[in-house]
Amino acid sequence: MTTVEDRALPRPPYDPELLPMLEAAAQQGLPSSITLEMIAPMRETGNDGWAPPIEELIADRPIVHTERTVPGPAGAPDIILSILTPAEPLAAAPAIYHTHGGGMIIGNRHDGVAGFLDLIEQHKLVLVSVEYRLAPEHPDPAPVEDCYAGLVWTAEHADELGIDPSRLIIGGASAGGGLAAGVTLLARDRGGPALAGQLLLCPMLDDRNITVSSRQYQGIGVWDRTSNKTGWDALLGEGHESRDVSVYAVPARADDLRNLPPAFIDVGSAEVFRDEDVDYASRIWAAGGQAELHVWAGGFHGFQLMGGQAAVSVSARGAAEDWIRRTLSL
Amino acid sequence: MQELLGRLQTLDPQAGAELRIVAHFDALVASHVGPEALLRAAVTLAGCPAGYADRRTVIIIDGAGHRRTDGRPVGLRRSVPGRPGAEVWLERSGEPQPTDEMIIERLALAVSVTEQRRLGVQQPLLILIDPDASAEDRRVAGAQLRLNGRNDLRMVALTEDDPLPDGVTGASVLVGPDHWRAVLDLDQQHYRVAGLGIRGTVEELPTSWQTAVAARRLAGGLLPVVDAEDLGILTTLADHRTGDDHDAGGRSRHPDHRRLATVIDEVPWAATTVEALILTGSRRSAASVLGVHHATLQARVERLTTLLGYDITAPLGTHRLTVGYLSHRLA
Repeated sequence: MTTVEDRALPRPPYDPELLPMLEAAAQQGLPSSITLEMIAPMRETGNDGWAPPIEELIADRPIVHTERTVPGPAGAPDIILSILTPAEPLAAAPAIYHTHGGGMIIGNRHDGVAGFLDLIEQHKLVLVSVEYRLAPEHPDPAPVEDCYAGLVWTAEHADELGIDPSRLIIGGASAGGGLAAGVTLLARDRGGPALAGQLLLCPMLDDRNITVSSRQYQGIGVWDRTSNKTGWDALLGEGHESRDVSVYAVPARADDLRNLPPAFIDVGSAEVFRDEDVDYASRIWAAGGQAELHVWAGGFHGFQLMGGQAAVSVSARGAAEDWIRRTLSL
Repeated sequence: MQELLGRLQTLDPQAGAELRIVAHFDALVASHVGPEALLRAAVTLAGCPAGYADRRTVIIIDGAGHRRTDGRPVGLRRSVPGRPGAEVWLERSGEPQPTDEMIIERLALAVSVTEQRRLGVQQPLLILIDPDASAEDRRVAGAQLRLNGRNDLRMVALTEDDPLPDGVTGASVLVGPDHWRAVLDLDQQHYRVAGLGIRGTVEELPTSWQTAVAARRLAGGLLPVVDAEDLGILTTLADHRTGDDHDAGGRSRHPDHRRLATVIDEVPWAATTVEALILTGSRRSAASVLGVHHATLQARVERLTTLLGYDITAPLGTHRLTVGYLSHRLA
């Protein structure tokens, strides 16, 4: 519950260049506070997701899009993978396995792919984006297990896909970042597939809404405290905050963050996820792991994914691309 | 959330897009950002590089959001209202988009507003050179700039095109239709082209500015820096141009003025020759300054005497020419 005092909490202001984008987001039908009953209409206005379909994004770039239907988790339906390959592929290319965002409740595998097209074209990367089942119709563990199953299939078919399995990273934004972190934990605990890195863009990691930042952003910005509760309630069922839940669904609750591949974590200073994301990086370091953390001043949730040439957006995109290049030795 | 990616990048050409463009720039202006942030917004909205250039600065933001400082205005250009010589532009390489005009329009307006706000910081100086400012405003402005009690203050007048010495800034001031630069010269900088006003106290700064403007009008190739203290009462020649002997446009009705203006218009060497004669005081020195043979100068003097209708070498004729020429320049 939000108290009167919470609303009065001081909070970092938004970057002035990002403010108009925030206002545009609100006008495009993205309210700060998303509640359970808003999920259905939001899915409808988003048609096949909020981003244009992958074909439209690719346009005349030398990139080939193929779809594969592959086995889901044991006893669960098959899943669809979108595979983006350079028109002139390498024999064994570095690859990104992508988990889309949308608060666990909306979106599809096309969302967020646009941000990787330059890299695919420039460095002949292969990108695999997974269509996972959404909550609340499909609560935990459906989303994270779908994502894991897709990763297993991708690694097993590396040869066929022209992927170098030693240069495969997982990445996603928002809920997709949380799922990427969860799949990384699963891969560690189940003995594979091997991952060379985890790209966690403003990841959704903690279901408890207990940090300072989770109380600072209520009723403003993108994905506020209420939206966060809606997403986690849909995934885990009400009352999850005080229950034991799977650490693969809620990576922030994992006690053991040892033996993880290098992480890239970025987040805005002006969003709900700020403190849980900073904490995740700190705990990876405490466990002897490698993490690169960027907290972008005045960034609202997802600012770095929206495109646009605001100075802070350009820096944020540049930092993520730079990390990908270093991690995959591009 | 990334679901918005693409939606915001590709503002579709609908009525809503134009409203969004206006709202976008309005929000930035309200946040007191500078020209670079406004350019970044234009690049975000247009999806192509955008640039800003004025007399001293060039900023270009390319399509990937990287900043360059080399280049010139190309493509769809628009001048910045109230900032002569300042321009913004969109470097659209392919088909023009329906929203381009709207974007360049709002960009130019936004830059104009933020630049004027930035110049407003120098407001105290504008108060000090305003002859109509109240004594109280003048006292406060003088105190802000720590000038009260001094008697060695003088204004320097520069046109928009005159080079500013390093580290010197000035307030932009309208002189007639043109933007000039008013500089308070506290440390006796060296100027390449300038008009120097008379020295005095804070109360005398309006006069210092007026005499600096007059001095700058007289500055030219032969004498690029003119000091009003050398001109004395001659700087007041400009003050008479709205009197009865002038028409509604400020043009003189006096035959001396009309003839001199016509001669200067029609005879290519007339202006520099008259100026050389006035400044040197002798035909021989004038010829030397102009780099022409003495005989050539003698022929010019005779031609000017014929065209103007009086002997410009006679004692009174010399003064008549000096006053006539200076008031012509000051008009």
